[in-house]
Amino acid sequence: MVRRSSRLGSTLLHGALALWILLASTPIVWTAVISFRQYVDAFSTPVKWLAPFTLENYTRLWIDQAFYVNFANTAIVTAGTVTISLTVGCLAGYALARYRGSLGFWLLLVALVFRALPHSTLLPSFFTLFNALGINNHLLTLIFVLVAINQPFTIWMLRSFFVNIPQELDEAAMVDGCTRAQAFRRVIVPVMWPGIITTGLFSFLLAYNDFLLSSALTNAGNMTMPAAIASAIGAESEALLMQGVAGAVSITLPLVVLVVFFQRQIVSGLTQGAVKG
Amino acid sequence: MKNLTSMHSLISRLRPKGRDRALAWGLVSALAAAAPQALAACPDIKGQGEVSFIGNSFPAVSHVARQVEACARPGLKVTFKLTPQAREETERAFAAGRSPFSGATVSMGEFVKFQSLGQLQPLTDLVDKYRARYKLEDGMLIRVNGQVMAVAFIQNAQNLFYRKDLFDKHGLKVPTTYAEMLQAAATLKAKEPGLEYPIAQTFAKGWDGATEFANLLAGFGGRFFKPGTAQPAFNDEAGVKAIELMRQMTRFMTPNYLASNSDDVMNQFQQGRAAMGVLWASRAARMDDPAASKVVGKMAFAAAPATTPGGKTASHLWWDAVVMPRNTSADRDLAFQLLMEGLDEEAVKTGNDTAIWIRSVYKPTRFGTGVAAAAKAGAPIWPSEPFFSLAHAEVGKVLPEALTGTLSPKAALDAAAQAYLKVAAEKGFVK
Amino acid sequence: MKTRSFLSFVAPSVVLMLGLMAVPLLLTFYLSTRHCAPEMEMVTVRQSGPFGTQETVTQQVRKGPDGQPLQSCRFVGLEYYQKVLGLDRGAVLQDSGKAGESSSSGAAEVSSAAGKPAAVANEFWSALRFTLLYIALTTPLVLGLGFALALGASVLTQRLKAVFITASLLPFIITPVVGALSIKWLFRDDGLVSVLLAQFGGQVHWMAQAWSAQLLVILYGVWHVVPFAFIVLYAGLQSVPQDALEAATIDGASRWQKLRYVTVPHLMPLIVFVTLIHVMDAYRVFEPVLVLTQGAFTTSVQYLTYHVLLVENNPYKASAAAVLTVLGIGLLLVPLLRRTWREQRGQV
Repeated sequence: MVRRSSRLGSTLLHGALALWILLASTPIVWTAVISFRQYVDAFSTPVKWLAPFTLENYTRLWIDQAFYVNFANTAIVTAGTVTISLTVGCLAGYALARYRGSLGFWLLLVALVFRALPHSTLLPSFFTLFNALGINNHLLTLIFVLVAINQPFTIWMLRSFFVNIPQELDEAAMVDGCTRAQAFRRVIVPVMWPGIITTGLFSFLLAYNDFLLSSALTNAGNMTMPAAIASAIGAESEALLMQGVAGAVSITLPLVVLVVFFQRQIVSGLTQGAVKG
Repeated sequence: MKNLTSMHSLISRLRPKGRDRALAWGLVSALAAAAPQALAACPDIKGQGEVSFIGNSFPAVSHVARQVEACARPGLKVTFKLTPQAREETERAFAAGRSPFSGATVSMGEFVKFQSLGQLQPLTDLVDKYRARYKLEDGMLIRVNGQVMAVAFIQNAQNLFYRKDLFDKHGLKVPTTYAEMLQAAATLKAKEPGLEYPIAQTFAKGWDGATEFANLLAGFGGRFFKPGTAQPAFNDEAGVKAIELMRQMTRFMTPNYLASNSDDVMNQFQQGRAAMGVLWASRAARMDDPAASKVVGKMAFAAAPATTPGGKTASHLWWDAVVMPRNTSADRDLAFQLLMEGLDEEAVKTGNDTAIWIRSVYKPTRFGTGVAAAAKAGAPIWPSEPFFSLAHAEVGKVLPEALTGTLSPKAALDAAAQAYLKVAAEKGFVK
Repeated sequence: MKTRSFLSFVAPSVVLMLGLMAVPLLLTFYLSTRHCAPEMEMVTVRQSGPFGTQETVTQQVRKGPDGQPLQSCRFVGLEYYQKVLGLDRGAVLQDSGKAGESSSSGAAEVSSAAGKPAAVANEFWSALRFTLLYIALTTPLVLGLGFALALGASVLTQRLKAVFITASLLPFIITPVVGALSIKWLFRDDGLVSVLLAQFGGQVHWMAQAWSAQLLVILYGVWHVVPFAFIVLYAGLQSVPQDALEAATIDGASRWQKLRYVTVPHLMPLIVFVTLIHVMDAYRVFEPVLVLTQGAFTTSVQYLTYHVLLVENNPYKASAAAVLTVLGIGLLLVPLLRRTWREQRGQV
């Protein structure tokens, strides 16, 4: 009796979990399916399950609309944001992990408050400032904005990774004659690579997926992929709409690859701030 | 390749002296190189330099851009940037110290804005100079107080789209008034299986819905403002009638009408879910593309219906034009010529079907019949008062409540009028 | 670590945060109290075009001696705040003249409308209301579903677990714009969801009324954040103290009681953590509102600021909306921050 009900329970459980997987993946899978169709089949009434396959949305998007330029922009912005974020963040995270004074605590709290700031609240002044300085619509400006916006999150995450590295390591290095900076560079950082990679992943995600700031601060030739996709979809033309669909799939592919290969790091990153030890 | 080698062997067989041979060969190659240049596009344009333009990505503008860029040659670099962000980029460029673009295609509303900010340069002298060469027509010239400030090239209006096959099948005539349209919709809904929502029109909250209201208001003889002032008049009887007509129409529209923007309405027609509606003439051609539409050849077009029997068509007229900013650094004469190349008779002939051109050589296709009809019927031009867009936006905001019945039409319009007065006061249009 | 080294290590990060977050925030405060516009004068012009000639009233910018448009800036104090909050009662309708012109029924409505603020809901309060509703509904759903998934995943075999976690992470890492669009295309008229609903005899027009449009945005929110809660709580489940569980079993506790009295209390810090992060992120909800509804029936505080800035083109009013938005999240965070403070204090 017990075994039968537990088998039933187990089947139900697996069924429920499978249902969740279905719900989680259907939107993007369906988008991928319709991206290989012409508009008349993609947004058809009634829904078409099978339709002629075409790659024209992708060729038109990547070649005619020069999506590779947007791809390059995203690559530049993401690479720049991640490297600068990590460099600056590691220094701060390490210091916050090692410093015992209350200044560190206050800094963390202020960073937490900053993390809550809606990005659009900074836009009016960004526009005013950047237009006045003439640095609007530059990728470098966007990079620094994204780095700054992601700092609170980055230093929180890196700090929690650094806290897990025993103090004895730097103390030993300093006893051996290193300055604090040297100890940091030569001893701690090599040990920190897993944590750095994990934090880098999240910095990457935040920069790669950003839409609000990228679309507001860049224009046509400088747009990153999310902004370009949104602009194609809102352009009141079915051809551009289908290219936007192809773009949506194109931008998601690297992310899927990322999740498959870096699943452990993502999980550890998500739990890092929460679980101790 | 074969010709060259045979030519070479021919020359060598003639056995001229070494120097003469070199000379002959040089002559041949010089001729060969010169020939393409002599046949270059835009032979009338003489000038060197770098000129760039900007426009949005509509098919008509793309066509113009191609013609303009075809004038490029060694020494003359021409670029025409096409982007859905054209409006924002153009605004930025024209307001900057120096504009990277020497010209742009703009809509009527954008023209009014740039003109009011004094950012456009008069083109009168250039038009006089090149009028004969490019056969510029009077209808193309946008004059403000006598000065030519823009050259219009395409026009647009809202047209009636309808399924001719279904209308013929049920013996329905093309509706000339909205009352007839509602009747036709009722008939089709009752008699045509699967046609639950025969009418598709852009009632989406915001710009689209407010534009529908504006068309119907004009049809009822109403005005947005009291003549000569910025005081709202759209909340009077004509406005109420317009909203009530819109409400009647929603009975035959998909319940999602508050999200129906032009993309959605297009989809409804192309998928055969709707049988009639008023939409932009410029989008009509997409009905016949089998990659986008299931109703190829079945849609026909006519002037938008009138709101009252015998009244004028409830639509507005729009144009797009090319302008040149004051703050351009390139040679204005050269830039003007290049733009005119993009709009000349040849361009219109080759791109006849991409838009409804203003030139007289344009042969109206069936897609554009409604626009000509609207112009003939005396539809008004889309208003260009600077405070109009404020009122338009406020009406767009109250539409959901007005159409779903949460607010009475009068209350909704009064609220919009109130809100408009506040914003207009902010901007100094009213005291 | 010495304070001096600490300061030099955190300097670059602090400079970036101050320069690109704190300073702009202060600038936003400043901007919200001002109003700048080019000086315009009304003129009548004769405009001619393809459709004939007409006299229109239009604006012309005033130019200064250098040929540049004149800008005038003035301090407006709290005026924009009043406007955004709908507290400005200045009935600007022209009084007797207008009432006399409209029909008799119209006059009554006009004068009554003039007496109270606009009958249409104020944009800011609608945005705030929906944002709070969104937070209030998504948070328990995210926690509940995430916890259920975490419990469920614990019984999976190792290989299945890896696949399950990878697939579950998809909604979380997808670009929000793309995710919202994907959901939109499923829920359109005659989309996949409509087909499925039709099987059960139902039909919902998602954009036709407020509750369904709001539900759609909330659905997106839950779909997007559940993986986050799931992963965190799942990790937490791995570290539930086994001896406490065993003791409870020995004491005869049912599974439900074990869950309630051992597991959940152990997971409390994690639950607080997920709640904190989610509340902060949910307050910023933007992409689903932009993509799914374009502001019809659902707006959010972030969407409002964005809209006022980029569509209405008023950076000063947008700044006022922005400051109010910041105040909102500040108030919301106070209880959660207090809790975090106490915990961190305990740690440090």
